[in-house]
Amino acid sequence: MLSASQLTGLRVLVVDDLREMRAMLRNTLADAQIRDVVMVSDARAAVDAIRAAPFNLILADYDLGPGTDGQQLLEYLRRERLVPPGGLYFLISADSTIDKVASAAEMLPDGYLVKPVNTDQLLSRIEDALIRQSELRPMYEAVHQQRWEDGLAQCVRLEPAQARYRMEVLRHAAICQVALGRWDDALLTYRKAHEVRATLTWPRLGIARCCLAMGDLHAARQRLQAILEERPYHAGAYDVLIELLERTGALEDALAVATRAAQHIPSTIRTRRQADLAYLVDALEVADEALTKVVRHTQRALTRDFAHRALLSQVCIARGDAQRAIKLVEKDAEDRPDDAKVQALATAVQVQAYTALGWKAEAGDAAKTLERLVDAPVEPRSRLLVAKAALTAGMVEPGLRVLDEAVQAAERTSSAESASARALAAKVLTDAGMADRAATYAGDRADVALRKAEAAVKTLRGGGFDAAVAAVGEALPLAPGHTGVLSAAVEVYLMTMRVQGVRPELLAQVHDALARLRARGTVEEKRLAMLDAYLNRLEGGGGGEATAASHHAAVAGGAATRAAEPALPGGGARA
Amino acid sequence: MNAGLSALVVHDLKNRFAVHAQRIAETLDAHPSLDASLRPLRVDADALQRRLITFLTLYRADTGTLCATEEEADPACVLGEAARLAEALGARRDLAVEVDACRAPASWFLDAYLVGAALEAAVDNATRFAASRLRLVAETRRDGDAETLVLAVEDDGPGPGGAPATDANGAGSTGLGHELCRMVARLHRSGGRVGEVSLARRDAAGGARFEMRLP
Repeated sequence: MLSASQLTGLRVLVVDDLREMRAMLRNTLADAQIRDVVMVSDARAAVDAIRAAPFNLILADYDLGPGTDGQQLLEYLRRERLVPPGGLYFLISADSTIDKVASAAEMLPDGYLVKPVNTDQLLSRIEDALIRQSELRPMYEAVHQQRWEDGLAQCVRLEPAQARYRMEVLRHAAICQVALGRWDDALLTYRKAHEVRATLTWPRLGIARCCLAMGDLHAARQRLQAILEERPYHAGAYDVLIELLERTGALEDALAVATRAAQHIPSTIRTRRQADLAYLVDALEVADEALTKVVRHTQRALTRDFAHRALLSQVCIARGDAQRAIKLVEKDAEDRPDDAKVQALATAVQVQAYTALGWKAEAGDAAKTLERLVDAPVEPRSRLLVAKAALTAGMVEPGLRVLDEAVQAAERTSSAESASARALAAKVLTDAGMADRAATYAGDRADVALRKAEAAVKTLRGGGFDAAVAAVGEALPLAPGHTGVLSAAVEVYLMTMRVQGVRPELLAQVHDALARLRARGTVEEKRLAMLDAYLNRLEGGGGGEATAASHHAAVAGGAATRAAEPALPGGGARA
Repeated sequence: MNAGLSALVVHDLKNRFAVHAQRIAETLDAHPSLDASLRPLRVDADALQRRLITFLTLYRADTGTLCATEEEADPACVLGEAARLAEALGARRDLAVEVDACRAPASWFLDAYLVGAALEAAVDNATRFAASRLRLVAETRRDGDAETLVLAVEDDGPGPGGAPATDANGAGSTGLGHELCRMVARLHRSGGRVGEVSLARRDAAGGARFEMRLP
């Protein structure tokens, strides 16, 4: 039990768009002797209040009217790190919307409350959350400060001691492992949680994310579809599925999923995602409608961003309505002369719109301004629009440079950002008549690595053992955890040693890769058994005697394969 | 009238009831002398809100949009919240409320909101028929290798079969509460097992025992 002073000392922020509901919550808190309460009606006011002085507890309604909902406010506050460690965020929902609030695992609130909130229920939830915060404080602090190694160490320390909060500790351990790029470890952690309770969604989503990161796309897709069948409101599952489809170039399918997500979760983030994909596949009417909605809803919201308006202008230009594009950006361009992002994006729109209208003098002036603004600090996807304008204005060198820098910046942000930026970069180049260059951005590092690894296997089958080893050596650092790359590496190394004799450094890599592939459980056991058999023969001194021809037959699995030398079947990812 | 429209109306009514209940509470705070006349009104307003929530929850189950969001929760806390309701409801009739959570596990995977709403419906029902006391129990039951969480509400009323069609106040039962409990239990699944409910006559002591068993 908490002491009375612990409760009365709480500073609380109530965020609800309905005055009566705010008053009810204040009275409920007053019943618990909590009197330091600030009340605001929307997300923007909430952020202003939090920036002014932090709160111990935030009670936010899910439905905050047009603009930003309570979940988006939470995501914004977490991203901006405005909720300090130990600070609690409770999402309040009407009973009919509770399913919709379940989002990505790392963006879960500290608790849910369902209206009408009564004093006992509120106190019980606050007390429970405060005790949990206190027990797990070192872990929460490390994760909040992005000290991932330390966070992981805290999780290892806490897991056996905190049976009550075991799942919370496992969830945070996985967050740290993902942040550190330790996908194999993260997969094991998510599986551990899944074994404890198979019906929990966050471990299932985590496993799907790991599968995607490791290149096991089929397994990832199956898991995501299963989650969405059960929970059609799960925003996190939609996000990962869209990323998967984008990465594989299935943009039409990605748009269909994004459209479904926007229907179920009509928030700014989901609608904007739908618009981005619609623009990519030239579904311009859909893009126009979605972006118009986003611009309208975010006019006074926390998620207001000039980039929405700039992309809408871009869509207008593509639809042949350059006049509307100019109109959409001109007011902001005039009102915010010192905002580099607004100026860069507005100029990018103007360059293209004037060119489309055939207004050469205006287009020339805008292009000169763009030269000055081409390196303005804007986020990657907006930067790609600047690059597009530069290419339209004939500024090929800076255009290509900006485009490449934008893709690289997106790659550093997240795999989802990277996939989106690559797809947009490819479209920009195709629109500019550089379709050959567009292929450069057709895949991310993992795709490049996989292509290299597959080429290495082909080289191996042609007898080019040293070249194959070198090619795999280039592929592995690009995507060290990718299942396909690891599989190819094992095959290349094993076969090379079979012909050329055992090399300890390659043998060690084979052992490591096989252990990792086995732990994932996504590679066919039959294939792993064959690789093991090859490894055992090598370690038993069987290497060095095979010829390239007999090796080729063995690898290809053809009729010439000897019974004692089982073939390595291609592929091997388990369905 | 279609069900969706009914749900919208009920949703609005529920929120209005919440506002009225709050106003009554504020009036009570300001004028303690009105306690005797206003407190029953508040209890009734709360009870009506619960019924409307039950209706809305069942509506969602009907449309296939209801699913349990399981998280680790302390069953004793969930039971405690239901016990507070039992005390509030029982105060008018001097019902004694006993809570037995000493054999409850430290935590269980459940949707605390849905299970709480179901338990409140069970308590609401038991309170209406109890003669002098209610007993709320949380415990685990082992069935082979599997453990089940049992949340029970016992009363000393006439028991199922022997119960009159109306309660002590002459109000009839719609069966809505029991349907909610059944639905909520069935949403909890683990290892091929599905949650269930039962309402049985207590042989030795008389009265009824409602059980919600969650895997």
